[in-house]
Amino acid sequence: MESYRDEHEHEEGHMMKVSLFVTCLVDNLYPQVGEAMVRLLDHLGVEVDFPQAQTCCGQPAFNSGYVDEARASAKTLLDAFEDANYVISPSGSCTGMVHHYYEEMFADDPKRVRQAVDLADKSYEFSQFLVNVLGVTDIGAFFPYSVTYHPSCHGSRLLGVKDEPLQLLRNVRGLELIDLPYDTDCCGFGGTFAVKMGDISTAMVTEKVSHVRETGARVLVGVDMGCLMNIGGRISREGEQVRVMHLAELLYEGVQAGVSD
Amino acid sequence: MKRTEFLTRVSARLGRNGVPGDSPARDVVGVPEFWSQRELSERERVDRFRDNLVNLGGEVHLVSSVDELRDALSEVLGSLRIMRVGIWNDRELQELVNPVLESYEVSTWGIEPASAFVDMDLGITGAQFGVADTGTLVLSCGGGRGRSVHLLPPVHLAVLRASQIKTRLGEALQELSSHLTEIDSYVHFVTGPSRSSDIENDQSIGVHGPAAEIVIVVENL
Amino acid sequence: MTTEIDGKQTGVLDRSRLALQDDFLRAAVRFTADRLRGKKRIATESLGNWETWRERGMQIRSHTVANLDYYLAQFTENVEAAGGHVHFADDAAEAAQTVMNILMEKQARSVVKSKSMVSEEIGINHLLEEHGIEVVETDLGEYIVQLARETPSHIIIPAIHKNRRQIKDLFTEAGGENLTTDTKTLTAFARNTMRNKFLRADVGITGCNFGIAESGSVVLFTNEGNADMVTNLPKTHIVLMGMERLLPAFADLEVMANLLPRAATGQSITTYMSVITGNRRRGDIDGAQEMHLIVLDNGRSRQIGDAKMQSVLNCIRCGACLNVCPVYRQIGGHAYGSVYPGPIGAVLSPVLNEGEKYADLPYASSLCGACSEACPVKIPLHDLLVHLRQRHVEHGHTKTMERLAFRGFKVAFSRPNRLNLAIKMARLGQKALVRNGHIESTLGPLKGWTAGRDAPTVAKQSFHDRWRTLQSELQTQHNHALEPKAERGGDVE
Repeated sequence: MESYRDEHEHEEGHMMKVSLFVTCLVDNLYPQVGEAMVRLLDHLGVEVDFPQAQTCCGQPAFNSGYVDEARASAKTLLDAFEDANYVISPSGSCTGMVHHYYEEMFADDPKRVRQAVDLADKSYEFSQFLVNVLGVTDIGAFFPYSVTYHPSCHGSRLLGVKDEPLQLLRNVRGLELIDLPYDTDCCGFGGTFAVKMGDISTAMVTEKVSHVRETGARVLVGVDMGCLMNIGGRISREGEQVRVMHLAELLYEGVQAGVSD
Repeated sequence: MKRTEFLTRVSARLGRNGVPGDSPARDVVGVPEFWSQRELSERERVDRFRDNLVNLGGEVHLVSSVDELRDALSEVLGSLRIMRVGIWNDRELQELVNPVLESYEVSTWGIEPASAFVDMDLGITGAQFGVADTGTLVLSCGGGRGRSVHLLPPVHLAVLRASQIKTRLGEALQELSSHLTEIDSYVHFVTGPSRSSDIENDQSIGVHGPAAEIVIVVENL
Repeated sequence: MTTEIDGKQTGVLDRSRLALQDDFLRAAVRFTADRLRGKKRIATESLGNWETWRERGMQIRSHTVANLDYYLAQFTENVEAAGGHVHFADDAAEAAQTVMNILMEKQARSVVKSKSMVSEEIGINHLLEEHGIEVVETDLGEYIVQLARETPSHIIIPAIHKNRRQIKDLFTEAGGENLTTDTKTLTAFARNTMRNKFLRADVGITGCNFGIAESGSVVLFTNEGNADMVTNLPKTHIVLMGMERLLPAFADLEVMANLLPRAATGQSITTYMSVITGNRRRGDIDGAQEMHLIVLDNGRSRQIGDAKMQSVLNCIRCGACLNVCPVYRQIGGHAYGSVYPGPIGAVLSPVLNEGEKYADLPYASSLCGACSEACPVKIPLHDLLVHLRQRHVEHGHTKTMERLAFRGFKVAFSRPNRLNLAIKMARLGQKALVRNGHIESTLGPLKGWTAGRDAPTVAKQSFHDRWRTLQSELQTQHNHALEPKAERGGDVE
């Protein structure tokens, strides 16, 4: 298999540069997901830069009604990615936040609005970037397990990332993709909702886990660590033996396996 | 005055001093063009009307002469063991069906007292229009065209000319819109038998309105 | 509409806990919601161009609300021209009093009603009963709910939470003899009981799905035929209408007739669409002799002019947002504690009734956006929920602990180095709680989470901390890769 890098280095003689928007959740709880993304992008011939000044998209505060607080955190992104060509994140929810609310959030500040629109224009969720920008749907991975995919609400509804992750998964050799019943139903995460309305949220995630169980899949994959943290937390509490992975982790593991094959 | 106060409050919220005198400009009115520009032949309209109504549990008889109409009516009344029939006081309709009704106990709207219609086995009406897209009958009620004729009995039978079947609902609504000052107090759009799914989402037919909707469509009339 | 459990004021979370223990309720809600979702999907796919239709619906409703003063004036003038009487009510109490005044004047003893959410909103049944007037809900689902002395738990399927055994018991108590749990038998009992009520009633009360401004017509979408009995058989007909439920012209009704039934129940059209213009004409033998229209504000006009919230008045009460809502699916309608449940209820209830009573409803959502996607007139419901949370914060109604937490968020997340420090502290702080690599403790501020789920731990090294190492590792590989191919180890094919 010819990688993106081989192709493009020959053609253009330079590498595509992207900036990683790691998201606060991945940064502090799941850094291995960010690492997998970087290694995969590198494998595909994409140079990754990581602006250190970023913190969080501000969604936890914004969705709780604390706009001012959200703005303070969002500004770190506007500044950190000022010079970036592409901004890639492992979360449809965080990228969706940038796309849908930043312009409105900074409506009173002309300079910030410009930055916000610019950031939205160049921001992509990871699978979206791979499939729609790089045009890669087969990254030569091998992953010999049964897998079911949970589409996260914000990624699919706000950002429109629907088929991209599935295209990537369908092209992984050895992988058996099993449809998740009621896949588009929310897992019950919803940020602070999961704490504030804990009982309702638990009922929701319990139903989600029951559907995951129905598939019999060994692996649950998704493109948003918030949802996966929630579903994974319930799976762990119920003692289920289902491995929960971000798509980037699965693909990177698959690429390594593909290499050693 | 209450009305003025009420409307002024709305105007104020909309940022103006009072209700504007001119009707507001509109960019978009009614259905999208792809919907209104469809054209079906009379044959297609009749077929679509029938298919849609039958799908909803209605019954449609296509006939192409007055004799066939009477035969069809006679067969329906016989097979349902109908005894008492209520009918609109509508000369054209009555002329079409009266010969068949001679052997039945018939109550005509406006002639017999309205209370008689509570006990009818079947109500016969005409219809202003049919709508092919949905299998709908449009009954404009007033005068001899009483509301209760098709509502109270367990069976409703309508006689409709094929040429009265429109493609879409909007064409029937357009007729109302073009004659705003002459609208009957009650225009009923009826699509199939009365139904409910309120008990465990299990559909049942004939809750309050008729349990059977039968339409005889007369072509070439 | 009770918000009390054992006499104590409760919130949506407390009420949800009761619902979450009711397995039948939850199974019933899921079953019916699934059926409705499936039917809607088929009905919208067979129509085609659903997004274009939704866009139309949104445009027509937005235009109407943006010119509501004009259309309301035109509509009510036309109702009067057609012989109807028009009343305006600022709030629920005034609307209810207006109904009472009409009933007193008519010396009414019995009233038949067809399903109307506005009538629930003004709590009219209760008032009529207090005055010794018999009031009968004639929609099958509403009748069941009335016999059970409950309120509807769904906008379209009022008795979604009741099973056939419970319904059989209620009907038996109401005088049904030798009833079985068969749907036909139960329906027949309701039909026969209602017939007499329709014929005897002095006054009929209905709601209004749409008012047509150009003609002054009231349009009702129904399936059972009860609304037509209620409209036509009693001498007096009272229409209760929310002030925003208008369409400029009959041409617009065609759009709503395509959207509403499909979104609500997956029907291409409801069995009956009744267009009622004033009272009976001279020469008519049936139909109400007197028609009264009561136009209700009750907090609606306050939403006009609020750029965000105005769109909530576009709602056509189809219930599609309830059927897709994952929260409604778990807790049903009554847990919302308000007349309007589900996502639309979580927006409408607090805006129509300001104050603390429904202030927690906007938080009963995971903001998944399924409601916005399902709405046939494209109301951005999940955005409105966030907007209401913002109002709550602006008005200083949130809890001190929460405000402090987000103040902390602001301090930490506005500077990466401060965040780094905060994370280091969290890493230390969690030590006491970690078991087997995750947190199970059900104490502390995260107990809402940990009661049902394990929580992850803060990573030993954040991505920020790992980056330098990762970057130099990749750089080394690249330099290595630039050497002649033969020397590359573990190459990609």
